[in-house]
Amino acid sequence: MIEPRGGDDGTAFTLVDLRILAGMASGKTQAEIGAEMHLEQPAISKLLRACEGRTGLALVEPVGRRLTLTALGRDLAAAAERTLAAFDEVERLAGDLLAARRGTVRIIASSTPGSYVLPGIVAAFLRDVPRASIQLHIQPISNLWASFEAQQCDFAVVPAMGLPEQLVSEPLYDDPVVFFASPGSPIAGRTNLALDDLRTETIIGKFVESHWRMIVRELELRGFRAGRRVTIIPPEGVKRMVAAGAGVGILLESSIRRELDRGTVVRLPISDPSLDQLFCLARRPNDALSPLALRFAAFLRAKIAAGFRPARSHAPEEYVPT
Amino acid sequence: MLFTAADLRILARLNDGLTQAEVGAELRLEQASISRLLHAAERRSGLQLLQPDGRRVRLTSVGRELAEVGERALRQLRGLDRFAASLRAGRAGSVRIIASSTPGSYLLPGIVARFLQRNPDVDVELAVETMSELWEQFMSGGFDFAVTPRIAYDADVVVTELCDDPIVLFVAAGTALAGRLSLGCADFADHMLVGKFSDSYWGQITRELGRRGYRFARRIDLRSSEAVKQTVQAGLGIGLLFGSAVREELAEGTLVRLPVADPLLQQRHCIVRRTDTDATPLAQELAAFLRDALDPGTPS
Repeated sequence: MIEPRGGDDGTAFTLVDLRILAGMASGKTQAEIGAEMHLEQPAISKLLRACEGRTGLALVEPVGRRLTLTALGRDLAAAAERTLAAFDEVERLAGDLLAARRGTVRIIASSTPGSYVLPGIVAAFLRDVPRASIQLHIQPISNLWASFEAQQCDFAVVPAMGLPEQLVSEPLYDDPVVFFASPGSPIAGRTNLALDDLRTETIIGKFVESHWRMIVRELELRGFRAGRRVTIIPPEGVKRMVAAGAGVGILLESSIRRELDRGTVVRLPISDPSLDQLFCLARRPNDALSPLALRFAAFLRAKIAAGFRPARSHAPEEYVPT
Repeated sequence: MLFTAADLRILARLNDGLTQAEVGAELRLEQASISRLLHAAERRSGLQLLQPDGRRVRLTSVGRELAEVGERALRQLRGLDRFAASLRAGRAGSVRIIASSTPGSYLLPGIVARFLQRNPDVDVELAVETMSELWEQFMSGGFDFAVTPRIAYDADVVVTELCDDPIVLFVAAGTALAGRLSLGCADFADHMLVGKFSDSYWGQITRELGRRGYRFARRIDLRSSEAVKQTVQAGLGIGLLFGSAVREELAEGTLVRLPVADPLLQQRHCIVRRTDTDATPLAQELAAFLRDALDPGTPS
């Protein structure tokens, strides 16, 4: 019968037993194994005999003056090597986690940064850190915070407005609110426009989302009036409807950069001061971020700084790793 | 070592949602000991594994990742106990067999395949050698047993008889000899004999045939049974092999066994084990399985 006590995790084997068996299977002498493991040779023999007692298997036999593995010992040593490899993998993982070479970063983002800002940055990060894994969850603001907790995310990339009080955040970038139209539409030919000039236009946007309601309220304070409002939630729907000539679109610049560059839509030259949406990187204050998460945050900041308008209205607040 | 098995067990159970107190109760450790072990692991690894969560603590994301990989390692460790039990019961492990070419090629493969189907955790290594090479390799060690025709063994071995295998003379279907109802020694004098004569074992057999009065016009020496069969099937000469080596061809009718009036030699295949090594439970299981499949005395 196996006597389970004496081994690791309630088993018949200790990791030391396994290393001795694996060492013998690889042809090392007991003296060599002892030197590696800081054990006296008699201690090795004693451990092997104890292991034999617990398992009921004859693992070693004397051949001349040496102890060698029996056929059963060789079979067990092969299995021991596989087990040790699994434990060695834990050690390697720890080293990689510490060096920020491996691990998982969990990010949740609202739809605009999640769809238009983060994918390119995440792809570049994964090229830089090939053994990293990124989970990017994209959620509308309405149920984003519930998912942030449920998924135990490291960060959220979200509009700064409406951020839960218990989180800490740092500003990332300002994303300008842009009015745009199809290149062939009459309004696209105008060289100068005020917000008030849009009062006869059909305005297409994501008006029902909470932060868009706030944006529109702010625009209205600056004189914006829409002739008619058409609400479509996904930005792609807004862009398609505008490209089809159905009206003037309103979105954040990051979501229509590609179309503006290609000329499939044109930015309307609104002379009134522009309105920016501030996006931030938020997290729970007590979370101990992994080295990889910190590395990703630094990477994100650098990429944002290189490609986006830096946040103007907020002093940056660096993370202090806990 | 950065993490002991106990550290990984604690991480794994915390990752399962247990509190430190619950993990302590499960591992029969004080809660303070659990904290101490984890803090020691944090110091060794340089990684923060726990973080406060209200009045409790929970794993950090790094702690969760290590817990998941650690759980896999612990499963492997627990699997070793099961493996050891299977080794003791002869349900797992490996068996190394060395066999001469006829049993190795024609008798054992099908039986070993059935044994492997019944015992999915078993590995079998079957080495096939000519009789000249086999004995030296077997005695140099590493094999659980050998399967060979019975010979005069010159070492301390335990021999278990397996089955009889007749030595047969055969020709291609459609040749003149194939139609004969009876043949005597003198009928072969104008024919070529095709066999594996360079193997010392077959040398002894042909000498025995000669002693019994069999004479052949010429001998063609090939190294493999398959080559002997192909040559004879091509219409060249009379083949000499064990019955088990030509059983399929005789059944298909592509080769015809010659009706020699004088009963030819018969060989008995045996399991041979060295006395200076203990047979493992698994080797004993396989040997018993072979004996059951090849009942001694059953004509091939």
